Amino acid sequence: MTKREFLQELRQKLNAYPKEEVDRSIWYWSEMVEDRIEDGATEDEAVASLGDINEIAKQIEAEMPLASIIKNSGKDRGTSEGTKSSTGTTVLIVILSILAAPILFPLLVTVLAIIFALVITLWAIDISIWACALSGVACFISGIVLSIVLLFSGHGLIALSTFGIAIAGAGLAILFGYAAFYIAKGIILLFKAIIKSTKKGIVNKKRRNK
Amino acid sequence: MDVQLKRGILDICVLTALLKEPSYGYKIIKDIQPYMSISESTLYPILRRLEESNAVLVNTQEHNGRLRKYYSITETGRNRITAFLEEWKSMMDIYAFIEGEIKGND
Repeated sequence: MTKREFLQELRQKLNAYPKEEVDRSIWYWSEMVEDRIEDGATEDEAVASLGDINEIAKQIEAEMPLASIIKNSGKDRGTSEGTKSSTGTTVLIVILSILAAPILFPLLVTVLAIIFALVITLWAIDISIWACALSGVACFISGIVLSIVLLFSGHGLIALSTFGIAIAGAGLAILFGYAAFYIAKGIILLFKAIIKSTKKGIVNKKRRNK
Repeated sequence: MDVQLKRGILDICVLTALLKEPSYGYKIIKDIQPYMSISESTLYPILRRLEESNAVLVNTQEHNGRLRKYYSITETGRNRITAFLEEWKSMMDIYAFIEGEIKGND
C-alpha cells in the first residue's frame, strides 16, 4: 500500500468525525510514514510497519476528545453553510422567544409578585411585633406615670397594682423587641441568601454556556 | 503494567525525550523504544495531551521539502518531570516498606 492509499483509506474510515480532528491525525500519520522512508524503509514497508489500518482508525476514534467532537461539529456546520445557519438559529430564537412571551411574561410577573408579597408579608409581621414592643413601652411609661400620680393622690394599693402592670408592660416590650430585632435580622439574611444564590445560578449558567 | 500507570510514565518518557532538544514524532518513538514499548498510535494521544496541558510546544518546520512538527518541552513540562521523580521517590519508600514486611514475615 502506498502512503497516499493509506492516508486516503484512513480518512475514509474517519469520515464521520470533525474535519479538524481528521486532518490532525492524517498529518501525524503522514509524517510518520515519511520519517520511516527517510530512515531507509521503502514506502510499502513504511506503511506496512504502521500496523493494521483498522486498528489505527479505531484507536484514533477511541482517543478523540468528546469536547472537540461537539465543538467542531458545530463549527463545521457553520463553515459549510456559511453564516446562514447561525443567523437562522438567531431568527429561530427570536421567533421562539416572541411566541413564548405570552407564557414567559406572566410567569415572570408572577415570580416577581410572589417575591414582592413575601417581602411585604415578612416585614408586616416584623412591624406588627415592633408595634407590640412599642405598645409595651407605652404601657410601661404610662403605667409608671399613672402609679406615681395615684400614689401621691393617696390610692396606694391601686398605685402598686398599676406599677405592676407597668413592669409587665416593660417585660413584654423587651420580649417583643428582641423577637422583632431577630426577625428583622433573619429577613435580611434570608434575602441576602436569595440574592447570592440567584447570582451563583446565573454565573454557573454562564460558565456552562461557555 | 497497569494501563493508567503506563500512561502516566509514558507521558514523562516523552517529556524526557524532549529535554535535550526539540524532537519529532518518529524520533521520540525511537528514543523511548529501548526502555518502553511505544507505538505511533500510543504516541499520538500523548503528544496531544501534553500539548493541551501546555507541557510541550508544537512548532512546524520545513524538513527535506516537507513540513514536520517539532515538539519542545516547556517549563510546565519540566515541572512535571520533577514532580514525577519526587513522587517516584515516595513510591520507592512504600516499595521498601512492603518488601521489608514480606521478608520479615517469611
